[in-house]
Amino acid sequence: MRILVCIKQVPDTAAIRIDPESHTLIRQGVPSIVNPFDMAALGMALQLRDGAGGEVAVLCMGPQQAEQALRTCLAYGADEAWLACDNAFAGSDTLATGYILAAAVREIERRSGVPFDLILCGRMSIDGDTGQVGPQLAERLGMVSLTNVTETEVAGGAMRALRMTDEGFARVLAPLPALLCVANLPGKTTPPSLPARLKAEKAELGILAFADLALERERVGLAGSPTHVLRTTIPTFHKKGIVINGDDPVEAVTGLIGFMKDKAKQ
Amino acid sequence: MLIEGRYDRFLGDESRIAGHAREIFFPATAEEAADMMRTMYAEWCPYTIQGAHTGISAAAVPSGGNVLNTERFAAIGPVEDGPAGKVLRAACGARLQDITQAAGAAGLCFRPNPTEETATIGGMFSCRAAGPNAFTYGDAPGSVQGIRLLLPDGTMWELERGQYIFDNTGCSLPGGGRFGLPMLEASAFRYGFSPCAGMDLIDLFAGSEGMLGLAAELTLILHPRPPHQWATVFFFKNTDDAMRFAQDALSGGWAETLRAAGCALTALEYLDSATLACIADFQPGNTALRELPDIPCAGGGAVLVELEGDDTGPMEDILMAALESFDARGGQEADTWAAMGEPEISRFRQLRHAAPEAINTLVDQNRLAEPSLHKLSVDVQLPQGQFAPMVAYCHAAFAKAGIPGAAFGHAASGRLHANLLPATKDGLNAAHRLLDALVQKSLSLGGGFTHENGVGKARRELLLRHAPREQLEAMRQVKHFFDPKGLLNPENML
Repeated sequence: MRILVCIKQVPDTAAIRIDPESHTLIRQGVPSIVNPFDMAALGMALQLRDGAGGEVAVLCMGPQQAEQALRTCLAYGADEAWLACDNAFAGSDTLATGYILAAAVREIERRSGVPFDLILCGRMSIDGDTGQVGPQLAERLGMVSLTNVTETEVAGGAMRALRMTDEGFARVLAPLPALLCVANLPGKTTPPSLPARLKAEKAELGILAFADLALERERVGLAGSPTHVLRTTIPTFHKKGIVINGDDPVEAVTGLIGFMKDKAKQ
Repeated sequence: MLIEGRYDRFLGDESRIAGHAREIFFPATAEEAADMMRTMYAEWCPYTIQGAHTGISAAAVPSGGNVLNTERFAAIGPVEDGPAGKVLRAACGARLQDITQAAGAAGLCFRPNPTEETATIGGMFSCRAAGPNAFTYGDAPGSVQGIRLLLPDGTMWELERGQYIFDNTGCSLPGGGRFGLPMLEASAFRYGFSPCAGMDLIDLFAGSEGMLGLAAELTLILHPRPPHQWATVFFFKNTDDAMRFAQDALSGGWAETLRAAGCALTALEYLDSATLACIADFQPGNTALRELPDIPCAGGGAVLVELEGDDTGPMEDILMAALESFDARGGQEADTWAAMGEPEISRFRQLRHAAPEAINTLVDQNRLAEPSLHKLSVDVQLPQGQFAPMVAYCHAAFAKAGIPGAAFGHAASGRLHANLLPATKDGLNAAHRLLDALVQKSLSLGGGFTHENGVGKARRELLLRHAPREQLEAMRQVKHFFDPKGLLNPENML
């Protein structure tokens, strides 16, 4: 079975701080990680491979530094890694990203001579939060897409999956090839061994530039992006209510109870 | 404000020793702190200066009088140019995690890395906090360029490193005064605040546990963040293999090789099997460890190796050497965990930091049945080549005494934390005697005791029994000079 996992290198949002004056994110000095949902997707792919046999490839669109994210995936057990990297891709929104990734998938399949049976993506990236790239990619590749998948198994050339829905969970059966957007976050993960890490550091990555892919220039990068991020801010919430100050906790709680009782009467 | 109920948590720290005090004050500026100190000193009121209560030696636990807590005095200034690079000025109550973030936003780092990131910089200065990378980068005070010092009577001094240096007869002081004291001969270990010729005046106050004054604001030296940081945990089947591996690292010159290549060995940490077992018990309830798999209770414990640098080539070579040493000790590939980059390595640092936390949790559990129990540990510092013999001695001593114990520490710099975990009152008494034996063993190996966690009240008796008499006398003279009324942080050290 040939499986592809699409990953993204994202800032570690746990380390991001807010500028107290502008309420925007301070990204400088924030380390980068593999998007956690994509790591969960990789974990799922590796389990499927180990159960059914095959290979797992990982694909990332990003700047040169995203190589490290791919090497991390190799260290965790992926068999091959590809980086779609070109200045022309900078500024791509989800539409342009899906377009580029689809071309990259087709090129990888052409080079290997084997199509992918299954593509896994994380549910969304923790920086963009759109969740759009996976379904867009499936649409461009003509694949069935299943979102919010928490469990999956391959049986007889088809995919059984458990999906989270607004009403609960749904078990679905889908033909292969299929694209799954994995809703899980990585749980307990055994870190890669040192030999695996060292091997991943030396592994050769497949690099796909603009010239390697069948792309139209006006459909990538800023030019190919109908949406632009103007500003990222932290929402301010305005709460109505009262603030009870005081050093005496008994007095403060008495006041609070009185306030709540009054509110209940209204 | 009176300490009654609401501020009870300020009467203790991680030592689990409870103190007592009447009032507590929370200055937010150096001027406020000076004012409070001046008033209490004039009124002959003893007071204890506190940071974040993360210390384990009860230095911040009050023994009567009042408390001056610095948690609201936590401003961090911008990164600026200093005499030898970038610096930032932080108030004593600023926490290490916030300083790390502020430096990180400028692409810089504050080198000293004690694993307790909620510790205040003032507390770190006061107990000479060090951490895993002290072997390469020194302790916290070593990265302090200058301090705004408040003396017990509220007098304010500005001290810059290199400005006031002890000679054979003492040291000139700001304002034209002089502190005269015949200097002791150089000693392998300097305990507390005994001065020596060549020492900077700033370093007299470093490690003084608030007994001489308050380092209210500190100018911290920053360094560029290294682009590459790698770490590996090696799990061993027996202690001898772990110790030989650590010795291979030192005798094989890993640190020197890396330094020559512009890289650094920033940690060579040892956690014995008992420590791993404590962490394994602690893990289910600890969110910081939730991403790690179940901690293997390796019979020989674990060794954590951290490297950093600009060039991964030399780092790879050292890790290959590490693998060879590990293989030679019967290690298997699956018994290694490797991380690259800050976010991944932070998980291993959480593992390392879990050692004291897990042990403290076990102490708390034991206290439920026997409230007289408290944290009981000693920090020994060994010369090169004596770390393994001390570990072996600890394990044998724990077993012979029938007292559960756990040992972990910094193999590269020979600093070991030996923890005793009695569960009964009789066990506690026996454990106190065993602590003495551990100190004597360290001394017999040419080592010392007390480092990085300070003396405080918890280790005061050990200091008084085992430190060189002349150093204790020198400390008393220093204390009397700066705090003639004896009101600051009473019952610490002396």
